[in-house]
Amino acid sequence: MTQEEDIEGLAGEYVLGSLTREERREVDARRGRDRALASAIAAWERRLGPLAELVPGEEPPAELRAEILRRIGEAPQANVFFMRHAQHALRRWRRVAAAAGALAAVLAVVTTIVLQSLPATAPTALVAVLQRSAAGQTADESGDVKGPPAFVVAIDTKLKSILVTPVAARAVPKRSYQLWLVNPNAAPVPLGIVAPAIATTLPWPTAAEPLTPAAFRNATLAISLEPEGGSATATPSGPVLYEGKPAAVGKR
Amino acid sequence: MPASQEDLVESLSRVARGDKRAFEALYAATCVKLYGVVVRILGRRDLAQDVLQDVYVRVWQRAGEFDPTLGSPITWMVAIARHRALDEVKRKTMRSLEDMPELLELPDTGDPLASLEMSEQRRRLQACLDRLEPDRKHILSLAYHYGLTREEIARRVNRPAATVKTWLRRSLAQLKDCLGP
Repeated sequence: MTQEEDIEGLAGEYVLGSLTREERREVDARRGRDRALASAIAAWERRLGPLAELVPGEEPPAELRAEILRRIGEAPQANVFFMRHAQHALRRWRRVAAAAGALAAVLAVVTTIVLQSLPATAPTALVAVLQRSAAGQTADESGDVKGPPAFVVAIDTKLKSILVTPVAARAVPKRSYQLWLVNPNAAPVPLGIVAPAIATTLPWPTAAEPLTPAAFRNATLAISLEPEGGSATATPSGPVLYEGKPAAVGKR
Repeated sequence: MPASQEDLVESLSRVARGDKRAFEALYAATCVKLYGVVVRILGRRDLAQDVLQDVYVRVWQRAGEFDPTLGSPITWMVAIARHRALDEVKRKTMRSLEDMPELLELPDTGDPLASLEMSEQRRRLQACLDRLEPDRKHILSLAYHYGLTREEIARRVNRPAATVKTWLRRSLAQLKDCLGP
C-alpha cells in the first residue's frame, strides 16, 4: 500500500461491513479524534443508506415490543435524566468519589458529563475513576499516593454501554490507550481502545460469560499504553498507566 | 404500514422529549425493516432479537441527536441497527457460511415492483451500482447485507482476500465519483 492512507476506502468499508472486528475497533476508537474519518463515515452512511430499501422486512416476535418498552422505561434519556437528577446524583456520587480517594473538585466537572449518560436509579450503573497507578504497579489496598484522575469510565451492565471520558490524558503518537477489565484469578478482558481527547463509547465485550454487575464487583479497570490499535496479545503488553475500581452509583 | 418521512421526523422529535407513545408509533413503523436488516446480517433470529432491543434502546436515548437536515429518520435508524449488528456479528471469529441457510439469498434487484417503490436516492445509487462490473457489485452486496469480511467474501468468490480488498476499494471510489459527495 502507499504511504497515503485511503481514508475514504476505510470509511466506506467500515460502513459497508467488510472490516474485521479488530479493524472496526480501530476505526471506532479513531473516529472520535479524527474528523476526516468521522465525516467520511457519515458521508458513506448517507450514500449507502438507500441500500437498506432492498432488504426485505421481517416481523419481529410480538413479545419483543413489550421487552423494549420495559427497557426504555428503565433507561431515562440523557437530557431528561440530567435535568431531573443531576444535583441529587452528583451529591451521591461525590461521596463515592471521596471514599475512593478521588479529587472531588476535579471530578465534579467530569461527573456532570458522565452522569448525563447514566440512569439515576439503575442499580446496574457503575463508575470508575482511573488514576495513575504507582509506577505501573497494581493498586493495593493501602491507598498509596495516586495521581489525578485520567479517565472516568461509566458502565451500565443493563444497557450494555461503556463510556470512557478522558480527564487528563495525553495523546501519545503511535500509541493507543487500551481499557481492560481485570479480575483476580481470571484473564484480563480487553474492553477496547479509548481516545485521549474525547469520550469513547465502547462496544460491549465478548466475554464468554455475560458481564453482570457481579463481574465488576471485585474487578479493577485498567488502561495500558499499547502499540497503535491495541495489544497484539490477549493481555496488556505495555505499561498499565491508570487504574481504578468500579463503584455502583445511583442505588436507592 | 409505512409511515411518511414527515411522520417519522415528528415521532423522533417527540421521542427526544421522552414521549413514549411516539416511541411506540416509531417502533410500529420501523421494526419490520430494522429486524429484517439485523436478521440478515446476523443470520440468527435469537441474536437478532437481542440486538434489536439494544437498537431501540439506543434510538430512545439518542433521538435528540437526530438531525433531519442530514438524512432521513429511517437511514439514521438503519445506520444504528447495522452498526450494532455488525459489532455483534464480528465477534464470531469465523462464521461458517452454512450458518446462514435461507438468508444467503440476495434480494432480487430486477424485481419491477421493487423498483416502483424505489426512492429517488436509491434510484441514483442503483444507477451507479449498475455501472460496476457484476462481480464487483456482488461483493459489495455480500458485505453490505451480510457483513461478510474480506476474507469471508474471498472464500466465497474464490479469490485472494487482497484482490477482494482492491475490488472493494475501487468499487467504493467509483461509487463515490458517480454519486458525488
